[in-house]
Amino acid sequence: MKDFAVADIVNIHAEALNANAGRDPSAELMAAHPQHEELAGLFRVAGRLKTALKPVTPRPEFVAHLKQQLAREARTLKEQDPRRQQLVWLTIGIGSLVYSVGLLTMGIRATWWMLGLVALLLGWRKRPALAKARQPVRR
Amino acid sequence: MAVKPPATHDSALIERAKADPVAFGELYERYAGKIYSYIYYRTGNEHDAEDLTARVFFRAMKRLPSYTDRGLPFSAWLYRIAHNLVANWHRDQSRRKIVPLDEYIIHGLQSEAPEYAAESREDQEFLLRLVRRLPAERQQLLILKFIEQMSNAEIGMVMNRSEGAIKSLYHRTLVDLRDDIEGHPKTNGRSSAQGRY
Repeated sequence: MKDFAVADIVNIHAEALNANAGRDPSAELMAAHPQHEELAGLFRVAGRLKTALKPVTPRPEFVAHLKQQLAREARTLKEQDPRRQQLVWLTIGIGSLVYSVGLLTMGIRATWWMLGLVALLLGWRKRPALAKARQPVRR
Repeated sequence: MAVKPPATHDSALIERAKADPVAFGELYERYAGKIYSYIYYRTGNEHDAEDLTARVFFRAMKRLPSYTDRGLPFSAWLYRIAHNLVANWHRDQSRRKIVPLDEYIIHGLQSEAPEYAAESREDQEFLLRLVRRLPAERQQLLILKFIEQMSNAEIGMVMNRSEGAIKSLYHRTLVDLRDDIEGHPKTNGRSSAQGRY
């Protein structure tokens, strides 16, 4: 419970540090919460962090150069895009055609094989009758 | 202090950039400084900060067509890309570097907070070294809070955590830093043993 209260206070302190650069809210907050003795140490660390962590500006040449590179890349992306779309559709079309032809060929071959099998089985069944028919007729 | 919404809303710029990648330049100009600053503090040197900043924006531009607005600020998306790239960068490093405090950072340490301005350069270096030894998420929190001046709610959006979790993480970070600074025997060993990045 105590930790939650301290967490709230140190967060208020950080916001005050950000809002009023140059004015330290520590004394005010410590006076308002005298029961939390650890606040002084934590406020000191926060104040030092605020002082140490400053925004860093990139070199203007770097920013300008990167902007040029991004613009060049953007133009390439823009040019590539319709071509890439066409290529994708062409690939899909060719792929579908090859798949369909392959499927058809497989179907025809399977049917042919099945017919052959049926013919073979029928041939086996008729074989004894044929052998009998070939015997010479005795008179 | 909450971050002020930019003049032209990001979502309008994003829609334009989706249709025409050339329009991405405006988004870049808006966020280049912030992303660079963030990466600079996470890597500790100008060269890698520039390299990673460039990678963030190239990646963002390529992935922008698949970007969907889920109510999060665009900057949160960029910070996440930056965070992932920095994490990969740290993984690739064979040994950790120490923050080389550039002259202009030290220069910027003056005037704004007179109560703390008397601190020596060594103290600042020591503190930044401690910050860079913190786990990645705590470094991220401190950078977003003090450099980008984001509110806890905004930091929560970037880090995918609740506002309460951010509040509590900030408190724990301060406590650990205080213990590190004071050379608290209980925490000294722990902070150097923790996974940092």
